[in-house]
Amino acid sequence: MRSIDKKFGKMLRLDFDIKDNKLVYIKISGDFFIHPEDAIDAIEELILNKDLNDIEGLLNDYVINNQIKIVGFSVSEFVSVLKS
Amino acid sequence: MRLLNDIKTNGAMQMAIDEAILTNCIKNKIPCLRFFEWEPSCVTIGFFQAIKKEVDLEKAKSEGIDVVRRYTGGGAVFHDKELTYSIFLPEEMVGRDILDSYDLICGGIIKGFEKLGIKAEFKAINDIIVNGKKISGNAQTRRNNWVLQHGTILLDVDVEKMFSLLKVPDEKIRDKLIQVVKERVTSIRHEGYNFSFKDIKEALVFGFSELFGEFEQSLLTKEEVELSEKLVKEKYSTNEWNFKR
Repeated sequence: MRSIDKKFGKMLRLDFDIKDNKLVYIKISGDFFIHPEDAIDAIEELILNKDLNDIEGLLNDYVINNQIKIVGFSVSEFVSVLKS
Repeated sequence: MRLLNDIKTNGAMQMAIDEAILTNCIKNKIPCLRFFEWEPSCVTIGFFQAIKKEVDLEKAKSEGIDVVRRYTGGGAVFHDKELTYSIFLPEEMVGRDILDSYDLICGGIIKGFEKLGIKAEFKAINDIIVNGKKISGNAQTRRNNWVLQHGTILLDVDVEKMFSLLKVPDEKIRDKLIQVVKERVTSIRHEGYNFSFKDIKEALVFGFSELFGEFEQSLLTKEEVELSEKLVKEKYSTNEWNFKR
């Protein structure tokens, strides 16, 4: 489990497991905002069992294609926590 | 625009009423404003928060305090001595940019404070400060091009009680954290004012009407009441909802 403070002071908490460089468990929580909120489930599903090196691209595409607005952390910050 | 009568009820019902009104706004296209109080006091957690990591559930239960997950993101809030508002507006009135719309809508609160002689400022993302300290926190959700923003105005604040209910990331720094929050949070009382719920409400109605137009007194519709009751039963009082993360 890792957690970080990000810009605007929002907390992003990631509970995750990695095996063979793949994300085999992920639960995202915190006091950030994602619009629409239900996108969080799709994001978790999207990156589960994916190679760590592919996650940033997948997330960027998903956010742009679905007009998702994230307030409190960026995709690159999210990925940096997974890789730290 | 509708201005609803004040409603004092429990947390699950307050969240259900907000969602029912938002549903009705999407259908009937009439903006709405309401003010409410929590009976009993309540801890709400943000949509994305994990309830067991944020709230001492045993303590809340023993104190008779409700705990409910919100429809909106943001952090955990202990709703005790405060006025809470919800405003429902079409995106065309507030814009699609999230940060700008917080600034705009919070402007109504700041105008209301001005009427009471309180100088307040917006602090991004979603706070209002007085004398450099937070007095109001706000959160938004958006559905079908409609915006629901709800938030609190602290009439008084008991930081020790708040932290007896909320978990902290590291118990070793609990005392330090309490001190930091005391230094960063204020309330109408702490600023030396003695305004009532009604005084603040009337000032906020003035402030919001300056920005968004006049309000007409209204009641929840039969449809809103029925949907609220359904949402309490099927959503906001369920473990499936409250323990989702």
